[in-house]
Amino acid sequence: MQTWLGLAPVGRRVQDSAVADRASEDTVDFDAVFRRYAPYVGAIVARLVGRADDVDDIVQDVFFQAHRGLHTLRDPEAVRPWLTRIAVRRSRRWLRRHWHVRFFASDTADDFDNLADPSASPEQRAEISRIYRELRKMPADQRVVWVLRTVEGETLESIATLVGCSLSTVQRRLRAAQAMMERLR
Amino acid sequence: MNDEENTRPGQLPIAVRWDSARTERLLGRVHARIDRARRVRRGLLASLPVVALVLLAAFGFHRWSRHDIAATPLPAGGHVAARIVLLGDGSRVELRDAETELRVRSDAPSLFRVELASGAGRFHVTHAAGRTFEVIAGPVTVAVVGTDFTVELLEERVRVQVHEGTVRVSWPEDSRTLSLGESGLFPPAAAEPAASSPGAGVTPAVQAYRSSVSRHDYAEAYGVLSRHPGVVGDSVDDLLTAADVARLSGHAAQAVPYLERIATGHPSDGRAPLAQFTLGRTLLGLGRAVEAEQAFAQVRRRWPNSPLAEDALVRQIEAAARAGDLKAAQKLAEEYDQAYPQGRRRSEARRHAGIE
Repeated sequence: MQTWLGLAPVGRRVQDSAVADRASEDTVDFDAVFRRYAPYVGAIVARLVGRADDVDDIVQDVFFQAHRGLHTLRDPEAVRPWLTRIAVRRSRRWLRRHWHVRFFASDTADDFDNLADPSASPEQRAEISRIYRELRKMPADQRVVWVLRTVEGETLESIATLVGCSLSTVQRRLRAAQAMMERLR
Repeated sequence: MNDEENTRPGQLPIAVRWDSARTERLLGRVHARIDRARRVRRGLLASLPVVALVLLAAFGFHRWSRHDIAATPLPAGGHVAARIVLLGDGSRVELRDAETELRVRSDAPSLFRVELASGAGRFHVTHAAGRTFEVIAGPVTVAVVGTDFTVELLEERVRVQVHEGTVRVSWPEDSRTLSLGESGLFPPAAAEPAASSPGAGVTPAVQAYRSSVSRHDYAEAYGVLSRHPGVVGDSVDDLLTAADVARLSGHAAQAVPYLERIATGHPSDGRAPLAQFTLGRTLLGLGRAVEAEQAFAQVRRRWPNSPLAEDALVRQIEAAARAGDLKAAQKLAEEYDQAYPQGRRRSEARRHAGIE
């Protein structure tokens, strides 16, 4: 069966349900998708949660969830935005569940140092540390919208799709986040 | 996948260090997890008949022993996300959805206190002499003796609506008593009445409309709206709500005039660009591509600095292409390239214009 990145045409029916379950998952070359997109998903997750140490766990969650639905995608171009959406929602869930991190984590620049690109200047590293230290104080929903807009450069409509809320909610969260960042400056 | 995509954004050079060893290590872990899940799933499937029998027996026993209660009990200190929960004092709570989270904070002889951590719930409180029932939702505390009311935790405030009896709503600065039929947003915004009374100059139609909207019952709200168009005021809030009611109840075409009224009657309001953009999307969804293109063009012309301007341009390209004007779509796609050289929607814009 010819595949794009292992993405087989969908719609094949298999009678035996146990076989169908396994077959539908395995017609997709999951490994190829993982190898191609794991670095991209890891980068987005890192920017959203601001903790390089936890990226691996969240990336695993993203692809574990993706594994169950990957075979349903018909359009190869849909893979990346679909994975992005899962990554954003998993990261938001992580931020909500790990709210204590912002209270108990230390505030040293080292915490954020491994977020910076190796080519980043000392000034840029300091700026990254300052921003992510301030983001710790922000509610998860506002933080995710702010990072998607300001760091990822996503448009409001894309953010609404990624997060799964209305445009007006995105605008409201963004305004609140921007006001908070201004106050914290 | 090139490095540029992983180190994305303009201002902040953020990137995780990633190599093939890390990819393979993680892939191995994901596969191990998938295999574990498969084993669990097979085990569950194999034990399904037994589980079904046990559940059936448990259900029968439950019906036999507690046939009057169809709710999940919520112990002190516990929290649930079930649809209906039964509290330790005999009160019942209908949770709005799976996102709603409720916790019991106190189960003392004189006080039963629960915290609404997220979402909304309707509380049917059982009267108990000498015992106060309290719901904490964000900064607001709702105290009752015996009544039926709804508490909804919104982003910045809390909506309280009383269906029966009386409640006392407190927030750090003040408190307010709400009686049957009254509702309000708390803490109240400055210069805004804390609660609306159904008797204070509000017609029954308006009351029914607001009640349906607060319950997110858009079909019912649209029924009221179509019979009594006068229930909609002229404020931006009223018009946006009416447009939402029409769209979310499956009457998108009826949302158009409300959205148009915002753009024409309230052009300086901060929500006007959003209303105009939503108008364009609604028209596009209705297949009125030419009008949609004009609506998106207006977003860009009237509010060029709006954060929606980039989205409006992409949608304008899509609308032009759908209207059959591919030449205009391609010209607009070139405009996008110039205005947003690093734009995240570049390939989408070009695809709409038939360039890619």
